Amino acid sequence: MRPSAVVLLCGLLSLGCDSADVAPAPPPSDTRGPAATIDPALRYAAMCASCHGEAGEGGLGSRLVDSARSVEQLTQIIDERMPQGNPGACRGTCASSIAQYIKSRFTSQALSCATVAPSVRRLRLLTRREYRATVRDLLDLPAPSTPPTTPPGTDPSCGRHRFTYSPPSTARSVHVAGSFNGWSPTAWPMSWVEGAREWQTERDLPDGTYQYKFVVDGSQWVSDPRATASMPDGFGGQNSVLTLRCADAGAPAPAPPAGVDPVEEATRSLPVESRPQGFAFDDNADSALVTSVHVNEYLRTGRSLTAAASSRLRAVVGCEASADRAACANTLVRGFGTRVFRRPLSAAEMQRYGALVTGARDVEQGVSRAVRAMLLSPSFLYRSEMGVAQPDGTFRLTPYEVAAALSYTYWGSTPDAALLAAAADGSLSTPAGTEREARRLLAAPRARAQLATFALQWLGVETVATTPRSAAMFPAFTDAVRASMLEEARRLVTSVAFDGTHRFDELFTTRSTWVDATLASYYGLDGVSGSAFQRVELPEARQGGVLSLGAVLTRYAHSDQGSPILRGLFVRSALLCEEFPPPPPNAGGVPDVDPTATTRERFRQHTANPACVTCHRYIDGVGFGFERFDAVGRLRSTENGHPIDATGTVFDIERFGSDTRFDYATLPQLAGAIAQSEAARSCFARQYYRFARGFRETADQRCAVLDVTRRFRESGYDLRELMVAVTLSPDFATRRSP
Amino acid sequence: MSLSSRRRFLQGALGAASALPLAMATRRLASANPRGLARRVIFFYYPDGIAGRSQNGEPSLWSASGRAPSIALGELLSPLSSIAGDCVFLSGLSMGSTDEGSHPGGAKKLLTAVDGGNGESVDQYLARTVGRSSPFRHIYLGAMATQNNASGDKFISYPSAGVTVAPEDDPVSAFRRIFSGATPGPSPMSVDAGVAATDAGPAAPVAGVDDGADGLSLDTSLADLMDLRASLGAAERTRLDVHLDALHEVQDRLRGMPPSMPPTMADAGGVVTVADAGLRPPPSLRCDAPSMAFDAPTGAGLFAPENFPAVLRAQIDTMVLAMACGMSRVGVIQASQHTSELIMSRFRGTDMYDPGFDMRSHQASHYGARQDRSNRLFSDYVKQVRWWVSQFGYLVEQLKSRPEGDGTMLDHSLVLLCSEVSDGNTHSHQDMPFVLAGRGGGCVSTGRAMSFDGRRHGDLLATIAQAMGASVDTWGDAGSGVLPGLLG
Repeated sequence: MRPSAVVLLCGLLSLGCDSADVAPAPPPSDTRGPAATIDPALRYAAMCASCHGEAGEGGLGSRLVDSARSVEQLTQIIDERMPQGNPGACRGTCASSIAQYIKSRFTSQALSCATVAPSVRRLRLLTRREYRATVRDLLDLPAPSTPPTTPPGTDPSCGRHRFTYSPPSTARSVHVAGSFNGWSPTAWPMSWVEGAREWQTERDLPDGTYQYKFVVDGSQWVSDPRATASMPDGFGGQNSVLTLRCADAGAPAPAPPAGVDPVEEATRSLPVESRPQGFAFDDNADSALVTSVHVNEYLRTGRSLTAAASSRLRAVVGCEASADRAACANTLVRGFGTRVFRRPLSAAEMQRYGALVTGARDVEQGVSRAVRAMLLSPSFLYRSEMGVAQPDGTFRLTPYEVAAALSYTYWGSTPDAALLAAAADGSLSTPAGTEREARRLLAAPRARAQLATFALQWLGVETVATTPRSAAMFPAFTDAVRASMLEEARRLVTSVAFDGTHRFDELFTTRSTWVDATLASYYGLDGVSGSAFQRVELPEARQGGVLSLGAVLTRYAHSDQGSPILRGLFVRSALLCEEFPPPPPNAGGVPDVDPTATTRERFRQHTANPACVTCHRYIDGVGFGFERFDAVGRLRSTENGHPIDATGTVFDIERFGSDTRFDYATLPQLAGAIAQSEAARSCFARQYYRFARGFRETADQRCAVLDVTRRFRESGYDLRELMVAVTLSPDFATRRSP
Repeated sequence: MSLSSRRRFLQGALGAASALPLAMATRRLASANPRGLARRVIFFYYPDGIAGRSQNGEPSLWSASGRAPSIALGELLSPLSSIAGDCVFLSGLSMGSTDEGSHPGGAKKLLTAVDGGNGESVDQYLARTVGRSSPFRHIYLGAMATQNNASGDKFISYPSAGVTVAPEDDPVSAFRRIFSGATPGPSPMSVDAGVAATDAGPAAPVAGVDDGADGLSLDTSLADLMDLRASLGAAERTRLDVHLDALHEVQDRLRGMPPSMPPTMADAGGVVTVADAGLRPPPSLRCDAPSMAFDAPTGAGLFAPENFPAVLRAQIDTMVLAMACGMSRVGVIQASQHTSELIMSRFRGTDMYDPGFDMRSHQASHYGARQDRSNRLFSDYVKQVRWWVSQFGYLVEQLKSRPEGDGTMLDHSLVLLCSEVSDGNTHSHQDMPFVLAGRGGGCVSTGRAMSFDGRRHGDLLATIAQAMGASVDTWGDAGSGVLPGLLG
């Protein structure tokens, strides 16, 4: 249609350049503000903390707390000599900013944890997995393999309903009374469930609409704070309303063609998250930017998703009975709008989105427009942890922000109706109410899937699905094996946390794992058939908990050989939270491949060469413990005809500079040492804190992380209690400006 | 499975839609682009450097001397001999000290010229200044650049100080986004700037498609974002400025589209028509119906090393087509990522191919202290670098094959070949390997080798920025101005 325009215009361009012709650029439409600088706290954490301690308390390097040196002196030292082994890596403003940071922050007062510093308030862009889970929930587009979601509070089995009640104060008895039992205050007693910290009773109820109240201690009639609807009781109060319609929840969803998942399909091209180095998780808030590629894809995704949900979209937004656009607009902005934005809409927003409905051709079009617009709103795309300004200059998360934080932490998705109700009724304004909701979420099946997500990212193994391996050397390593290895990793961690001892050490000391027939035969284990995963006891050589997971062994290897370096680094960084700089320039490369030697022999120079030994004594001595496993997680007893030596030494497992060593003969022994190490336990707490909070902690969070670690320890290293602890942490709901 | 059996033919189903942004782009370009400036710039990155001066003093295999037509090219640059007259071979430029050592420090500094990536990269700056009237201000395409959940320090484009974005690794997605229009229909109301979309009343019914919805979504999203910004402090707004820019860009693009759209086009749904076809499209440019032959699979296959050459080629083709159709003026192609495990010995039909041995790209770069041909690491590394250079050559050839004005696209373009380290074995940041191709609308006189000993590579970036019409004198840390003699 218009390509000729190109040719015409080009004809006007003359070839021949004169610098005087160089025209000034049009001014940018926006100002970026003063060039942001990389937070010196982050630089310190990445480059200095491993030796000097995260708050300068010292270790292999000198103690920096209350340093007698001036900023200028510190700057000079950093500029010329730091970091150890790689001088010159932080010069000029890098050096001076860290020097200032050390002087201003590393005081004995800060070290005392008398006060816990809040973290910076942030907007947290939904990750791709969070986005997918959220739109599935909002638009009722469940993953094909999972059954359709049921309204919160409803028992999945039809014809039954579970009433739950968490009284604000201690109650001796609670009954539920309503139109289903003639309002009898004694007919339906509820029982206290300690694990859920609430009163419960489950009753058979046919489809219908019921009114009810709870009767506390025989005399106090209260409405259900988790009810999604209520109506006047005639006495000046409100009856809660329960509607059960398990047979027909709105228009039936059109069955998607087999194998096609509209959410997966629509979100395939959403941009990949950018993870900072050393941050294992996909949810780093400071690395997330919305570019035009994102906007393009969000628009396209909104269009596809509303089309996929079109036949039931009116029901989803509560407009199935709305006769006109105005009524629908009113319902949509209050109900569905609150779910999408995870808070009630402001008056301006109600007007804005209501107008999309009222301005449309009909209700159908209006609903679709409003949903698509909401899915592009920053209030949907970012979950806010901005808080509200407090008199002391800090910010406090709103109850709705707390609800979202809980829900995305434990479920990886948007708050359910009960959580939004808890935000609305004020229960999330108290630590006790927040803890109660945290425990409720953790008791649900969705918490397992979310912990599995954490586990795969913590272990770094998500990419095992695609990472290339030599097909010539490892023909048995099929796509099915890759997929089963990932499921093994998910099952191992979630079964320990939710079904087993719940203890951290079981992640390393368990003698069993989870396999299907594919993986069992791949590992050479007998007696497993079928595609269902089952727990199996392992021979001793394969034991080691997460260390001997097929996915971990495969991930930390090269395409044709295992890698003691990658495996050792995995333990030291992912499991012990230690940072190593990249090899300095001129370090030379990896030793040549030698078909006559073992991997261990080839890497001997690491401990022979003084330039290498500084770091590699920590890395290789751990990595050699995995030598019984090849590049795709199978046991081997020889390499190139030589017997395998899988013994090793862990230096300074608790802290660099502590001058300790632990000699081990087998991988289970190494795993056992890790399981019992304080460094590994506190590192695990720190990794979960990072995942839950979406940022890399700095010295400011030291006290908060210590608090989480203390709770973890006091629970006997119970993984569920750790998950709750990040919510109980004193910095959970407070923030500061940057 | 042979590649030809998987060859696909991509076509932008919204021909008319992509033609209009083109008209919009060229119209604006005419006023914004005086004579003698580059119309476009493409940064072509590949990982892990070159076989430079070895540790025992053997000279670099990356060398060029003389003037066209008798330029002498060293072994690593000789794949460019047929287009040597279109290139400037730069030597002597240094990146200066880069923090965090080696590959990551280099990647962070490559286009920012600031230690630690603590600054906007020049491509992003050009995109939002001289490139902002293009339908797509910035196109960042990768080939296996995001494999293994690459951390951000593998990427080279920084929209904001210290923050990278990931490139698009899927050519089909990239092609669809650029050529099918992200949006099947614009809002008739939002085309008319100044009329509040929601005041315009119900839109006219169109069967099966709601033309107005995307425009309305952008309007409300902008209103929400402005509300949100107002609640923030200055330091917190920086991040949202990128978001705001992105909304404006897509809104501009939408408004440049025709107000009416035949419903059949929107009915295509996925919008890209993927049909099996055995032939490449004719070389003649059809921006009203852009099309491209595509050899690689999508999904997990994007990360299979044997598919890498096809994926990279498709990304190069997409970039050239996008530039040819005026969709953008600023592009970045990131081939792989530094220190990657890309198994280049699985590239069929190349001299690296060896089904019996996995040679990884970073592994080969640590070839040892000497340029020892009997060392497989070294001999493979040489082959690898030559292959990367030949891919840059393909990109340049493609630009050269398309007529534009009284010359070719290449005459109006600048294309920079770059990597994040110089010698791959020592991680050197001295004497960085750069080749600049294209005459930049007449700005650059090509066919020569130029030495800039002691100058920073940021000066090269500043020079490129000026050639694009940007008013910058220096770029990044320790810059001392435009490289003398490169322009003009």
